[in-house]
Amino acid sequence: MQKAISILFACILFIQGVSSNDLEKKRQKPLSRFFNIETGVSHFTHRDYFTSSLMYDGFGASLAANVQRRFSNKIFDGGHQIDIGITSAKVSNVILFNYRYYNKTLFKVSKYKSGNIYTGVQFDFFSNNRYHNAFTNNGYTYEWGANMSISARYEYAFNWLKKEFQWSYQPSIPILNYIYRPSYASSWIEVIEENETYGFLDILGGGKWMTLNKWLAFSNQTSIQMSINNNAIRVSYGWGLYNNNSTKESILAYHCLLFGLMVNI
Amino acid sequence: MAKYSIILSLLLLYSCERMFFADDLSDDPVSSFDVLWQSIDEHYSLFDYKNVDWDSIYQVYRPQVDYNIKDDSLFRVMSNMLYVLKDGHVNLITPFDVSRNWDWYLNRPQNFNLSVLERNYWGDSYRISGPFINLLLDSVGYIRYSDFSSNINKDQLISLLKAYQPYKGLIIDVRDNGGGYISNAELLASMFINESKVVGYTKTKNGPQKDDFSPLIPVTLNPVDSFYFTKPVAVLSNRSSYSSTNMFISFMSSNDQATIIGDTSGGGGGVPISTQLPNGWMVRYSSTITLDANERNIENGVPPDILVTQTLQDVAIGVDPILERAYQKLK
Repeated sequence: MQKAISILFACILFIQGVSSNDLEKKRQKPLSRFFNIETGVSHFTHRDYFTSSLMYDGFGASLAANVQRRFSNKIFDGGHQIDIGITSAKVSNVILFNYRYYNKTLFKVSKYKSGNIYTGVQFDFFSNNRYHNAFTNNGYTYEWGANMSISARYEYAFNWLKKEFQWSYQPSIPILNYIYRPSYASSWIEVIEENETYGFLDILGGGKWMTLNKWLAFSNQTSIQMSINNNAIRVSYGWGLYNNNSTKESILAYHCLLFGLMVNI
Repeated sequence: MAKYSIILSLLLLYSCERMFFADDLSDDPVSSFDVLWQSIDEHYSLFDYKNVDWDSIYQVYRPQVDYNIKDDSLFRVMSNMLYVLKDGHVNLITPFDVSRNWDWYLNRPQNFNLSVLERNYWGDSYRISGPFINLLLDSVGYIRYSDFSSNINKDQLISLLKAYQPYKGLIIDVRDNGGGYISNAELLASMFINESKVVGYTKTKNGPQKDDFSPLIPVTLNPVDSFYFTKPVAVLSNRSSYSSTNMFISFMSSNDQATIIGDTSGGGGGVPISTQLPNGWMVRYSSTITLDANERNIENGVPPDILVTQTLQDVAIGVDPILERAYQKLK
């Protein structure tokens, strides 16, 4: 049953990401379509009680790409982000690698003189990976998962120095989460993987549906963009937090400052 | 207005974060001791096998630690506590020392002398093929593999073993091999089978209670494509054949083609994992149980088929009776 629900959830994520936008595209031509590529610096804080009670802290780099399509009353936004960093605590270091795919659909719910408010739904797939090279056999710890979140966006357009700017703020809070964290952190799967008995379905079966008190995954982004002809440049600040408190608490917070180019396609 | 909104939201976002992080554990000696004891309590896999009452161990050692204890004294108390486990995979790792219990081989004859081998058996005719010393001893091949951390690959092994296939047999010397990667042990053992074979079982601690273990998972070796070594094999073992070397010997002991010669291997069947203490020190400990094909625990080693000991007199006159017994068996 768990596997069936997991596969269903994965299918919804995929279909939502690929098909629904295409169907919408056939019906209605977007007002604008931007390809956005961003890069910048990130700061990470994390702790995984299975391997250490210490808080690790450090910096890294992020690379993100997304496509945003705007219609008169809705926005489709989907993209990828990769973070790589090195964190440390006392004398030891951790190499960190995170990947996130998201796809959101937002509907305009109100328009005020001071800006527009959108709300909708966001699907995420994420993979948080850490490698602690001083550890034996359990140096690699990770969480993979998918979230369905309520998402919102507030945006405000203004002119400054004869240029057009837009400021936006987007929070999202997950309501349905599926997370795979290897049983008892990573030690079990690492040993079992030596015997190559672990398949994709086993991994899904080893995951858990999490409620809000066991799993938090906030993500927020605020950005300001300046139009240049039909394109734009953008500066974004993102903040996110993953907290998995199922067996042994694992928590990761990140802040990233990204500089991007938005190309009208 | 927009500028102020941006600044305000950044401040709010950043300040929210700490709400979700529990306070750091204190890195004082008492907290570090307690985390060490608790980590072992929850994750160590061999209490039953070693018949250790870990709760009573706490009562003995916890009173020896206070908030003012110096690092070297704290290290000594922690080391003494871990020593009770009599496990070569249990170590406390600090910047100034590493605790260990190496009684498993120090209490027994060495049964290996590299100088005797180099001077009286290898001569200058041996080859160095990757991590393998190898040569022909008249009609029998000899391979020495001293470290399972040295990676090997299938093509390299096929090439090596094909060279000795025409002869009467092969000696694989893994004495004084302290272990390394299990995958290397599995690959090497796979060169001597022509069909898939269950050579052991493993189960892993997967929860904090003493009896929280994964199901027993079979360790299955699969034959390597297109080649397997068909001649008799002798595996030389001593008490310093530890960890994944111990597993390799266990795998080979389930193969009728192989004879284990020498001393009981060193053991170390529990795959070690690590935890970091609040003061930054690290502890390593066994988290699994490994059984042989007959479901016997190999934590304390695999007994040989033919027990042979190298005495100090043998070393003095430059003789390796374990190697010579293997040669007699195969020639």
